[in-house]
Amino acid sequence: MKQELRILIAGVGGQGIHGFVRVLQQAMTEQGYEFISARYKGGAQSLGSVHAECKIFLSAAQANAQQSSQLIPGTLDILLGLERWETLRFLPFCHANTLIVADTFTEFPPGTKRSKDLPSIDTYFANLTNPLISRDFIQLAQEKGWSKSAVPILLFNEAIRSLGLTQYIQPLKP
Amino acid sequence: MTNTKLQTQAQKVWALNGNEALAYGALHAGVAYFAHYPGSPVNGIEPVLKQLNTQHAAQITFNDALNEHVAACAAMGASMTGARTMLVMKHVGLNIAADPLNYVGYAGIKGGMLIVVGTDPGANSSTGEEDVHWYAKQFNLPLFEPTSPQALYDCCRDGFALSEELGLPILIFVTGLICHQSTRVQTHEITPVKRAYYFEKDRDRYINVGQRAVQNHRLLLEKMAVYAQTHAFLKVDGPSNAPLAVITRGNTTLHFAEIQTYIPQLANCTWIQLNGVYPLPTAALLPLLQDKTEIIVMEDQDGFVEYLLKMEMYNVLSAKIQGKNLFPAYGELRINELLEILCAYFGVAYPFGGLPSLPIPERLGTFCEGCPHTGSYFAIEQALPKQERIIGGDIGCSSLPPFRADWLLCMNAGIGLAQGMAPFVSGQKLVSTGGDGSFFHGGLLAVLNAVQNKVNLVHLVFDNKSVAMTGHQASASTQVAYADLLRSLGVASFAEASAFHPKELEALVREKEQLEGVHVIWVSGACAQIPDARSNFRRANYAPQIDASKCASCTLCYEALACPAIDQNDLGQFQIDLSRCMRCGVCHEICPNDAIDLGAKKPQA
Repeated sequence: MKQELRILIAGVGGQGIHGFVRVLQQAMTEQGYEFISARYKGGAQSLGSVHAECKIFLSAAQANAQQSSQLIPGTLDILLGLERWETLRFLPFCHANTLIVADTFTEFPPGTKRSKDLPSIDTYFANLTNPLISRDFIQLAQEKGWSKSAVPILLFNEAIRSLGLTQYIQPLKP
Repeated sequence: MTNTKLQTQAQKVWALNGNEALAYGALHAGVAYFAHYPGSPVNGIEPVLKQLNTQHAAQITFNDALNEHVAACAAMGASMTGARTMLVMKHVGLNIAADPLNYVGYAGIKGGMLIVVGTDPGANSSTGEEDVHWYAKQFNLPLFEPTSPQALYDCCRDGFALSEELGLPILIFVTGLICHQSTRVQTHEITPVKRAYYFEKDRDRYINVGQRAVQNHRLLLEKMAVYAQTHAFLKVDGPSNAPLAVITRGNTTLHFAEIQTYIPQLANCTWIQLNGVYPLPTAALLPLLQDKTEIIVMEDQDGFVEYLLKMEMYNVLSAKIQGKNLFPAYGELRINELLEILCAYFGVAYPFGGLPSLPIPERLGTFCEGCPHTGSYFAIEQALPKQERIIGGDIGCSSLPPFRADWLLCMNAGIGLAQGMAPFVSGQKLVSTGGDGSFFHGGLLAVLNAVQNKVNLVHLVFDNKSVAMTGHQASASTQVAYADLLRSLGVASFAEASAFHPKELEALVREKEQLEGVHVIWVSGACAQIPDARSNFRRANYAPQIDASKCASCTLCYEALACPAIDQNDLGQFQIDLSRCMRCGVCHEICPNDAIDLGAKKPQA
């Protein structure tokens, strides 16, 4: 079993990343795991880059050690992407086997002229060699009658199921 | 007046971030007065404390000050009566509060006083970064830098006690990383204590003029010299006889334990974590450092501790002291950056390799959909030719999109710099701008100053009815007769305009720009995040769309207005994303081809 789980959640302002981190922390604490997170907000605006870096300590030894709340690039276990350009922005935090779970929601940075040399987002995703789960989680949430705030929870649950961690971590309830 | 401190049960509070921990800590330590000027990253303390105050009927008095100078003076006054007081501001606010805080050590305080300052190395939640550690030395007040929400919570209890023991305020600096970091926090049981509040006259202490100020300065220096010898707030890990010592404070303390595991040379060093950063506890440090051959001071920003160490232990230590020669004095100093630097220094291979980065466009700041500033900036830019116009920008939401204004420095730099430029740029079209928060923070004085100095200037106040950027605190503009106020200052003209009717504003800017004297245009429009009745009505009843057959692709709405709700589809056609559109109607008003229909279901409000 891994000693700790390193998760980065990336998206844009208004997608509920900070709220999700609180839910995740509450759930992990209730399940008996220590948790630490660092949150970065994109200024007081919608559509700014927002991300959170989280560690879930699955072993008591790790939990008791003094820990940085920041993640070192190349050490990520799970990248949860709520917006596709932001998902790609945090690739340097991934190693070759980092699991990427990405929503298909796409919002090109507003007010930015798109360079003709910039490949399409689909091309970028097609070239990814990491384990990747990419789907329309917003639609999935709507089909279940849940609000958009359930989307990061769905991504997280998908990740722990895919990594076979459900014997240690119970999925979150949307 | 008396206050009974709250009696709380020993309990665990799960998942507090740094701001919340400070609010809980203040409440449980019996804070009676809270003064602040809102600013990230510490803007989260006040709303939580207000909520707790209501929940626990704690009888805390709040001062939502209009600027940090007023907040600091008010906090000092409350403390002088014996009330436990917390004063909160961000790093740049400390510049504004510095005037009274230079003297708080001379006068001393009675009720415990904590001065919480949010620092932001890396400018992750601020317009800029600056190192305010030097103020600790200038004010000559004890400075603490707790490195976790738990430490922040504990620091409130211990800090108030220490403050009352010394008769001095305690500075608490907290970085954005720690403000927004969440961990579990254990709270403590508080025993109720009754306090009587009374201002006791003491002219020798409180009247700091001339030789009395000099005398009190001497007393403060003596008190702090004793404190430095008798108080040490530090933690030491690792063998004390190791040849290498590493000193950390703030964020670097948070990161070093993990860094140690990757670099063998650091595994057995003497690690000194400075929690009490100023004054440097030289008496406690001497036995730890005197036999070292090398000392590495790991800290962000200017190198405050390294400076103190070299100054105060000069000729006492024989070790080679390293610091800013290794680590940059700018930016956040993330854990990976520190690790890379130390790996290179010790000749250790960097242990990680991430995937290569892709050329993803940066998300530059934008106005939110429906933001009143969108129409305001559009109007200014349309009124004044691009090659000739000069726009003085100011701090706040109106400064979010870069490059709309010609400068952004500090609160009220818009009108401040503009009035210095005005006599010399008669060939150019000069306007200054600022939000309602800035206006009441100090802009009011700047307007009066411009009037009294006979400056020719058009100043626009963007009033979105709240201090939007820092948490939508109530704006004084909702309570003050600002038109009467400005007219009484002697402005040549005062005009009001709606941010959602940019054509009218454009005409006003053109007209006023031709005139002599100080002309103020008050541009109103509710923040899109706090919609007023008009906005709510429009959101419920309008569904605007762009008629592709009329659209001439002039890009006025897409590029010049730059509303984030307008995008371009794969066919190159412009369209309105109704899931984002706030129905402000500005795009409809400015479209020269009448291609944007408001899609009103009902007659316009």
